[in-house]
Amino acid sequence: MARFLAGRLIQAIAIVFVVASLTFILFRLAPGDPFSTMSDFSSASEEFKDQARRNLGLDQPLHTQYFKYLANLVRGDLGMSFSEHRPVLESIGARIPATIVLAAAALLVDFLLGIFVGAHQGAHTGSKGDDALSVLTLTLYSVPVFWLGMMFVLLFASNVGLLGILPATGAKTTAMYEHLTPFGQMWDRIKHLILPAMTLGLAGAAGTARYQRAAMLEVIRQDFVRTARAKGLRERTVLFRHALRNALLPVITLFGLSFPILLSGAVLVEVVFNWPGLGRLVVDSALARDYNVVTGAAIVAAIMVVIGNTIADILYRIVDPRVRLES
Amino acid sequence: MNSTLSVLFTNRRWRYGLALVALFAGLAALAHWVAPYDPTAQLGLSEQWRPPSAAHPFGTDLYGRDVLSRVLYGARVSLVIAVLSVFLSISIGTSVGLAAGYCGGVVDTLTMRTVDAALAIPRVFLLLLVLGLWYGVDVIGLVIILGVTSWFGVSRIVRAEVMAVREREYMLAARSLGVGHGRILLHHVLPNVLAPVTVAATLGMGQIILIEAGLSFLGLGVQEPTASLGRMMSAGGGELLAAPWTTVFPGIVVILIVIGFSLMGDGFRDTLDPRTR
Amino acid sequence: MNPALRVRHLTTSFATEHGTARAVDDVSFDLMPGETLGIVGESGSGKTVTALSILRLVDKPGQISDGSIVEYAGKNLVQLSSRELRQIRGAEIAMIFQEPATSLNPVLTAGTQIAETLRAHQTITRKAARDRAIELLQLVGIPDPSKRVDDYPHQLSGGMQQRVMIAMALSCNPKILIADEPTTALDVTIQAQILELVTDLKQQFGMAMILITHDLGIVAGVTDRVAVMYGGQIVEQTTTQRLFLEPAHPYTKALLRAVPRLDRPVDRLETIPGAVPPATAWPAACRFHPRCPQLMDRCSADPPTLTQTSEDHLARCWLLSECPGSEK
Repeated sequence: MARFLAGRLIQAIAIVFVVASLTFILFRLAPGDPFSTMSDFSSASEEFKDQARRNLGLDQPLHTQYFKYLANLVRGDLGMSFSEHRPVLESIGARIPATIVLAAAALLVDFLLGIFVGAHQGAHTGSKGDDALSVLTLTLYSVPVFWLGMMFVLLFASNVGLLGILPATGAKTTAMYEHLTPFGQMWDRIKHLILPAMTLGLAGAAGTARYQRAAMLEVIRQDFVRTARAKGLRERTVLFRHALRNALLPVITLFGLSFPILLSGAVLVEVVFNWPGLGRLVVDSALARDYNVVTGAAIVAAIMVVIGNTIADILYRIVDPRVRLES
Repeated sequence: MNSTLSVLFTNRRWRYGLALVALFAGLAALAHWVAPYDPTAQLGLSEQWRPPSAAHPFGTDLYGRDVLSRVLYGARVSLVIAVLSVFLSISIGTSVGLAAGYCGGVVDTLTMRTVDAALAIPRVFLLLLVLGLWYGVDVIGLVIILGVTSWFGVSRIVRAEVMAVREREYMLAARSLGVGHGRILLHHVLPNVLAPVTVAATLGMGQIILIEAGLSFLGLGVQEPTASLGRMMSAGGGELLAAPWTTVFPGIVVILIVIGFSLMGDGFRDTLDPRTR
Repeated sequence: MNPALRVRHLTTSFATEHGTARAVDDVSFDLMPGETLGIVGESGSGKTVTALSILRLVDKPGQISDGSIVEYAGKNLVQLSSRELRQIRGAEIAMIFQEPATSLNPVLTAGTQIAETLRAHQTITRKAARDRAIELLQLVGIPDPSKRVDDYPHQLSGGMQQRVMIAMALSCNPKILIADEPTTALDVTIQAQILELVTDLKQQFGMAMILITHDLGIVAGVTDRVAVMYGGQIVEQTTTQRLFLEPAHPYTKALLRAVPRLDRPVDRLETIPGAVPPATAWPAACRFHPRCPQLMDRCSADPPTLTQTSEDHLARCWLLSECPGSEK
């Protein structure tokens, strides 16, 4: 396990290195530099801009800039945010917890619901219920995630929605939050989390269910399922203990692959629900041409994806004895 | 190829998908004749935010423009962007995959490590990175950016197929007969990758439509007054609550088009691999 | 004496795109207590589907469309509720399969898989079930059973896997054991060991056994009676001894000619020309007639019935009713 983790770590570092290089190349390929396009500086004098470029090292040869950039990256220095006037790592660091909370809640909805629905369908293929759920998951799979969020606002949002039962903006009540009891504060945060997490989670659950259904279908015709029936086990035991346990293995791979999609979706969902996470920061920064923040966020997102993949690999090793006992 | 097509037509999902896609592609292509109004014509403040009625089946928007007409023209923009970007991404992905798989060695390792890294950056972050650096893009620019950031998966599929084909006997035979690299690629490898690439392209259409909608929603995609389906849904919270139809109808059209492409892709994959049925 | 299992007119059909296929067509036989019945045939003859039908294990779109399967206590398995059927499966009638590698669940240990069979049929603690599993592993000849009990299937050899399957099948002292080609997937040296183990344990447990095989060598060594299947039907049924001495059906004769024998010199083995057609395309009338070396006009016109040729000897062939005794 230790050797496996060491290998994964080296792989992760390699990926982050290539990602950083890619972002640097993209940055250099872009027309102009911050001072020729950013509106804040349009009125500044050429002298001032040259001075600013020198300060940021933009006047030095490309390879010098590249090595400097990498050296800074190793130290965790992603540069300064122009719009927030503080180190990029600080800006991003302040936003990451909210995104992780949202992503974790969404993952919970995604996989709990997706696995349950998909496994049920796979065990009863061809039934009316399977057909109806197939139509539902296909539809949900094709819905723009931000549109789904807006429909939830129309339906559930307090004051404005049809049912008016859940808050649909921000991560907590702004005005009275300090006056709530600790339990009240927690409840307030959970209420704010429900709509964004459901939106992001449901969109993912549709894909997971489709995948789980196919995996279940594959497993259910295996010989050992027949053996389990021949032993006189209950159908429920056959399906959950024998079939689903095996059908979960490919879904763990999906879990690892779902992180990029999850984070992409989180950007849109955070904008719809005004969720104070990394996604909204990156959108605001892209609109404000705050390059350092956007590149920094991309690198951080890539690191989160790599971490997600590693978690999935470890899970796989725990669940599948054939892989676990190999090394 | 004819037999492939006739087999496809026996697949229920592929037929339904084709029908959906054909319906909306047809309506979009004929938008000029089908749309009841000019999509950019502002019918005046009195016509602002009219709910659906006989005159305006999908209602009107903030500027009193007919939503149905804008949806039809918007579908056209979204479909054209999707077709062009998918074509671009498939071309790049196929070329890179062919090159990596066929050359092997250092070329293969370098490209595939780069693809791994690119796939680790969530797509929306990657697009924001590019769109944030290039100031304001037109439709062509958007097509290029979408195409250039969407080929990674395809290159992997193609590379895997090439690797598989490379090991087969007829390739060895062809090479030992002194058949040139270009001919081998063209006559032996390309036909084999055609099917999986077609599946990827079909499913990619739906994905690109969703991504373009997302970008336009964020204000980074197609710019006003051009109507793309995503742009129409980006009017913001105020309009969403005051005139939900301006958001609801474009969304439903996006869903139906994407369902169409998903069904076609699934159906095509089923006929290639009957086990998944 | 009541038979341990009485199968009558068993018909199992599969609804396919090309019509309904009767993979098992009007099969009847008795299995007496303590007896070993061999069911022989080429692949595709319907012998495995027959075995699966007895415990109603045929997967959709297949289903038992006719007939009855009555066990020694008088219960008709075809009509049991799924709950009642569960009490029979694994407890009174157990089954072992052809591919031990895929028939064991890869993510559960050998011990778990044996213990859960016990726990499904008996009130027994986890600990007791585990102890019993170790005993059973010992019984089927697995060395160091208290360690092997925690092994996953992929850690065991093919022979060991099949021994685990046998231990699992015997765990609840069944009255009947159905063995579907239990040695086909194993190495030749292991085959004999497993076969010996199964026959020994059959004696020890006093079970009746149905042995499905395509190997007439195994039939000769192990079985008391034999049913030969072709095209989903039983074409000949008699005692093992008589089958080898006086085969009545041309198909049986062809099968026997295709077996290498020690008691006479053979230049080359004969084979049966052609292959078993799929269940959707079985020939009309006699299903063997396109491949039959003794084809007559009548064979392609009317289906022959299973007729008694002598005491305890049934065969399905027009040769027998046309001019009995002429064919020797």
